[in-house]
Amino acid sequence: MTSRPSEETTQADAHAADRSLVQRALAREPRAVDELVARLACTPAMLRVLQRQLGARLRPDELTDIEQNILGALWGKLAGYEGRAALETWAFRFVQLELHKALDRRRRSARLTLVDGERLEVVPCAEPGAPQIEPATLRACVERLGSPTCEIVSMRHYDELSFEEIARQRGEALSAVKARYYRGLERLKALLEPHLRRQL
Amino acid sequence: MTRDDELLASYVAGELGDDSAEIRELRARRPEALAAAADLSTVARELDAGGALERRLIVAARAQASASDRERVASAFERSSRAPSSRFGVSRWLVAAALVLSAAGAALYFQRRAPGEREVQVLNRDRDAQIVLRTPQAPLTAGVALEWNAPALAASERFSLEFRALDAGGSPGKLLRRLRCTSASWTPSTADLSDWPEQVSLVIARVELESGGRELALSQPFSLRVAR
Repeated sequence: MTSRPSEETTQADAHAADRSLVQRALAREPRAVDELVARLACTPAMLRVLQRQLGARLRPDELTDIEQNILGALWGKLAGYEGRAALETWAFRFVQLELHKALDRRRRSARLTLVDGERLEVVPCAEPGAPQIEPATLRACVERLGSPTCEIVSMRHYDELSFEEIARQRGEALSAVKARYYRGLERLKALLEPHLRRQL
Repeated sequence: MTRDDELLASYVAGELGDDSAEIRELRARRPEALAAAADLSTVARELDAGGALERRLIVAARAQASASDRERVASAFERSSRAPSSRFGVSRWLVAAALVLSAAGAALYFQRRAPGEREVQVLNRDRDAQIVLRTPQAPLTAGVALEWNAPALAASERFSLEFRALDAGGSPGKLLRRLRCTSASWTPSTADLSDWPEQVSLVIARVELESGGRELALSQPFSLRVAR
């Protein structure tokens, strides 16, 4: 991993700015509502991009259905946005969850191809450097770590913050942040073990 | 936390490499701890890859967002902000007026209904899984069994029922209830139906338990009226 860029402070400030934007939009400030809608206008595109990335072949009506669920959930939970991640990252999680719920229901995994009419073959992910574990599974396991370990691990790997920046933002000692991170990774390894085995 | 633990965390996170003096010294002193940390590096690399992929997808989505996407997001926001449960303080009078109008509309609708008109509509006749709704031909009512005809289930199979609210355009929307049955019948209780809208859609699937609920067959979607 490379050392974290000098945009650390900018990222932290951006999340605080996002929180303020949400609060102003909830208070019906017209400019804030416009800005918030503009920021989250990429949510339907996230669904399209993610379903392509997963190789899912959903019908347009299924996509519409999932999009409705995502937007409903997103706006319904807006008041709970705490600025722990950028708005788009926060929205992405809704997209990921709703799409996987739909795919779980359909059990149409992108990596399964019918061969010889009988056998199911695992088609390897072609992209080099791609994660071995399904990103949604990884995220779900990180969330199972619970607060505050989940936030520390997310800030480190999803927001690309340094330990120093995480400690500063959380108002905690650097050693405490590192301890939680290390223990968190130990627990995460146990949680991911069955998924890693399945991938191999 | 000891100094060693801090070093191990930095090592796992990639801040300190194998060639750093601190890690070389730690390896000589506590090789087992460093081996365990090296094992965790796999997890850290997965997290890095997952995080990077997520960021790439978000960037791609931003580039692909269209004006029509923005419109749909904006109208969903408007709908949500008008909902009585939202924080936007929609006037109670407006909500009451909407309820009165809905009730009046519903009364008119039922008054004009032809006697004997079926309460169940098939929304998509293209889908055929040999699952046919048998009853009710009257509205879905608490205490009255909903029954369907379908090929017999194997021991490892169940019927899965999915009820959704129908929106103004007649399309299935919000998920209301999903349940599994061992036979071709389900009887809703008063509590089941208490907060359901007037029209709901129902899809019945035959699912296989052993494969985590894989759907083997899906019925056509049915539109059902809910008795009040």
